[in-house]
Amino acid sequence: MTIALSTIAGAIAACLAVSLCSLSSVFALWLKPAVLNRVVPYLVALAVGVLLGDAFIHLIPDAVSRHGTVSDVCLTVLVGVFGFFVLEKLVRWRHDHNVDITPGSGEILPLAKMNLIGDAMHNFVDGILIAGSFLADPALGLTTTLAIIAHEVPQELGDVGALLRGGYAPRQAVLYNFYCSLTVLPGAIFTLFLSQIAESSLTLLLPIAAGGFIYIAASDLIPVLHERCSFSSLSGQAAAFGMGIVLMQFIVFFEQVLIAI
Amino acid sequence: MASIDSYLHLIGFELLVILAIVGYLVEADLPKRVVSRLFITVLGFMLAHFATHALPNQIADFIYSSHHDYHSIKSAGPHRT
Repeated sequence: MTIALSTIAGAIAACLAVSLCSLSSVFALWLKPAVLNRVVPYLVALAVGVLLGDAFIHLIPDAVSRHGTVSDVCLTVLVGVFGFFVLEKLVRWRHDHNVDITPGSGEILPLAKMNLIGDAMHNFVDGILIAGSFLADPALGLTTTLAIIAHEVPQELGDVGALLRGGYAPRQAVLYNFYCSLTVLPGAIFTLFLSQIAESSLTLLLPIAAGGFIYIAASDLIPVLHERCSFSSLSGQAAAFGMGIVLMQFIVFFEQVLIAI
Repeated sequence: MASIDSYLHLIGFELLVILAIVGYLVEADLPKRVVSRLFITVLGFMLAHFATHALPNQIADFIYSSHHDYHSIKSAGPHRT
């Protein structure tokens, strides 16, 4: 199969646009440290809503529509949760059994590393989706890219919040988040040159990424939200959590409108 | 469907913005220098493309469109100078 150069260039341009969106969190650098410390718990709550929303509203239904059987997809999601549990155990074991959830001086918590791994995997899947849709039709590629950008911006904001909470400096958090977003390019290149393998790998990658998001949100981020117990933190974090879910649901409607055009 | 030239312009522009932001964020000397050189290289390519292809094409397009007799010379496909 020969692929038109314009298809390859279009897919690469779309991937770079997605990577560029991950740098949108650069605004965090202009905030004062005191303001940033106040904002981070709400960004973490937003990340929980966005990650769970992405898994349950976006990735799992997409995997079911591709795979067909709910039981197989659910089993693969569980494999993803299990895989991320083992991965986190390995990360903690490598760091002298560190189980503390508050970062010390210069120490990076496992939750930040797990978030980076999950985000890199998610972006790889996004690259497969972008290139796959460009191969089908450039117009479909454009709409898919817009949909991915729409869910990428709130997710990157939440991810940077989680990385800051994990002990990274603001500059490092934005940069590492950007480096992880670059996995969108290998995902697209993999699809452009091995499109059939990439298409079938989505049935595995989508639920595994969903399992990773559920694990990170439920086991790493939600315990962080329980550190502050006041009415203001309850209402603020609940609002940010809910907003993450609403954003993901809104993006599903937005995608349906784009596909209908 | 957009032409390959439009996609390449877009890629070049995106690379410039990414390299500018990453250059600002990177603190170590060596990576900063590498990013700066990459930025200058991409900018150089884009300026060279503008000077040797995009600008002459625009001028030719303007000249051929300015007079009725030239209309048959104007090609419908992508213009290359």
